[in-house]
This record gives sequence, C-alpha cells and structure tokens, in this order.
Amino acid sequence: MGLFDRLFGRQPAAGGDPLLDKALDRTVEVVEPKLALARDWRRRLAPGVSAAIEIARAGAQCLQQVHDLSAANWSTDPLLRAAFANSDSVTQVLGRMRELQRYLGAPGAGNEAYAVLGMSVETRKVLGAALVGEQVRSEVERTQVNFGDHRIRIVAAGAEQMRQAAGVRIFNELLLGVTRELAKADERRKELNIERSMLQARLRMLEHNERALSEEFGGKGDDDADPLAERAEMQRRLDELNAAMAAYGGGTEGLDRQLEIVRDALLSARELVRIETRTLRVDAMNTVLEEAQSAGQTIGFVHVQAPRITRAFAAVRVQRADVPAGGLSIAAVERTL
Amino acid sequence: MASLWLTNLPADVTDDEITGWLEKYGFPRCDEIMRVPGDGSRPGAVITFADVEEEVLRRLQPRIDGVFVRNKTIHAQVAPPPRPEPH
Repeated sequence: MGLFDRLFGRQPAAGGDPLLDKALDRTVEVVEPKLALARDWRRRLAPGVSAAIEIARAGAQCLQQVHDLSAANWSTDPLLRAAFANSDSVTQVLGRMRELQRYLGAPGAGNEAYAVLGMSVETRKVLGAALVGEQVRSEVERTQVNFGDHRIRIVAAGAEQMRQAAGVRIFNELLLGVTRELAKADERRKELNIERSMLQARLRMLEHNERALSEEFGGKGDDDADPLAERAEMQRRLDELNAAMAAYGGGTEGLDRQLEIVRDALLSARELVRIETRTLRVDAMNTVLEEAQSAGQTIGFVHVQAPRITRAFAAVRVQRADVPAGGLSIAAVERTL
Repeated sequence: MASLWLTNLPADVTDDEITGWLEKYGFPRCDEIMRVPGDGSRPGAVITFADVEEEVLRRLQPRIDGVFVRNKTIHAQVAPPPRPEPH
C-alpha cells in the first residue's frame, strides 16, 4: 500500500507533511503538470489540497456498515430490498459488474470481495392511501424513494482497503472537478481572444477608413456616424476584454492564475460537495415513513451531493459463489426472444 | 461522455496497461476500452469516459499524444461524439 493510499485511512497521518506532499504532487500531476513551475506552488496549493484530503477522508469513513450483497440476502437486508426490485436483479447486477468480475478473476483473489455499490437515488411525490387518524384516505401525498443505475467501481480485499480506495477515488473526482474548471477557463479565454482579435481588426479598419475619408473629402465624412464615439466605444470594450483575459490568466501570469483557480476550486468543494450518512424509514413499496412510525424498516446509505452528481453509496461484501460468470447469458437472450 | 482514440498501440498491450498509462498521465478512470485492431499494423483502441466532458479530454489529450512506449509512438485524438441513430 502506497503512502498516497494511506492518506485516506482511519486516522489523519501524524505530522502529515510527507503525505500532504504526495497529495500535492498528485494534484499537479493530474490537474496541470506545469503548475509545478509556479513560484512557491506547494505552499499556495496546500490549503486547497488539505481541504480535499479532509473531504475524501470523511467521505470514505462514512462507509462503515457493510451489507452482504447476494440474492439470498435480499429479503433480509432492508437496504437491498429497497435498492433492488427482487432477488434476481441482485444476481443480474453482480453479473454486469466488470470491475468485480476482473477482481475475482485475477490470480490470487480470495473468495470474497469488498466493494462500493453506487446507485442513482431520487425521491418523488406520489398519491396513495394512508391512515389519517382513524380513517383510511386515498390520494394522500406520499414520498417515494427509488434506487437504480447500480454500479461497482471500487473493489478491494478488505473493508479498510475498500475505504482507502474510496478515499482515493473521492480525491481523484475532486481533482477531475478542478480540471473541469481549468477547461472552462481555457474555453472562455479562447472566446475572449477571438473576440479581442475581431475588435482589434475592426478598430484598425475604422482608423484606416477615417484616414481615407479625411484625405479624400478633407475630413467631411458621413454626418450621421460619429467615428470618434465609435472608436471610444470600441476602445472601452477592448479594455474590458483585456481585463477579463487577465482574470483568466493570460501571458506570463497564466500559471499564477491557474494555481489560484485550482486552490479556489478545491476550497469551494467544502461547500459544494456534501457526503453524509442518511437514514430513511421506508415500507415495502419504498414509501418514506415518519421516523416515529412503527411500520417499515430503517435503511442507511451514504448520500453524495455534488454539482454534477447525486448518488447513494453503500459498502458491500460479495462472495465469489454469488457472482455469475460474465459474458453472454444464453438463457436471458432466449427469454427475451 | 467523451472518447479518446488511441492508435499505434503495441499489438500485445493489455487493457490494464492502457488504463495504467492513462492514469499515470492524469486521466480519470475509463469506463470502456474497445479494441480496433485494423490490419494489425497500427492497432488502436477507443477509450470511453462516461462522466467526462469533451473539453476536459481535450485538455488532457496532449499529455498522451506522442508518448513513446515499447518502441511505438502512441497517437491520441479526442473522438467526436457519436452520431444520433437515424430514425
């Protein structure tokens, strides 16, 4: 296990410096290797990277409860019952997970694997029957929770390795978000550059036309147009564009500005990314019930809300015997035909 | 979703090796690797990233384009998005 992997273990590393250094190195490697040429880049990036490490570590540690993911366990585990339509769909999902198949197919792999099961999660309002006081009323607004799009991307030999891998994955996703910010800044800078070039060309044409008119008509051109006002307006717009380009880091200040974008994007993740354990009380139809109600069962999962994703995650343990062989299922194809 | 088109790969390269190179150069984890052997002289692969936009891939692409691996210079291009199915 590498130093970088140990970043996301149960406890923050004592002293921390070599580990933070490793995370800083990985950040510039992924986001923009040229940032390592900027003056004092480690000190300037450290607050952002430390914030990202904390998010990743806290997020990984949310994956404490491990569910046995198998068709046999579907009826007894409330979360599996809520997340899968029936026991067969558990087997189907396990058969589709290539990361899991690859892990279990590797030489030396054990008979069980720990994995992070990711699912889309959405709540919607439905009308249904409910007991209000002593009366059963129809068309009462209820909330239903639905899980779908099951995916397994993180597989490991043990629970702690799985949490470390989840931490690394969260950290990498945060870095991907930063790369997105830099890509957006690149696009905006390109647009501004094109707009500036066009404006400069128009300004040159205007100056050229003014000279030509004054030479031919002794300074008397079209009375309606005010070339001076037009030029002043263009110059003002040009100054605005130059200022906007400076904000996106043009010329020699580019690296410094990019460094600030990276640091700010990582720091803003503290407000934008929310990873928390959520519990819901649901009945057999996945209708959300009040906590105080005795009916239904409580399910717990890790809820991740970020600018681009809202998903539920759960730590699962999978036995080799429960994973069907990958590839084409002839029986399933026959049923479909 | 965006795809990266790699050509001139070593003929015996494995998916794990490709994934390893990409991660080394800062690419996110890919979701699918589709091999395009062609006539065998310049084997290729289309690497699909489900949660990555084309602009992000364009930013990362120069890092792997022209990389020399096992006596081969790999070429990388961001593949255009798939055309919608004709109705």
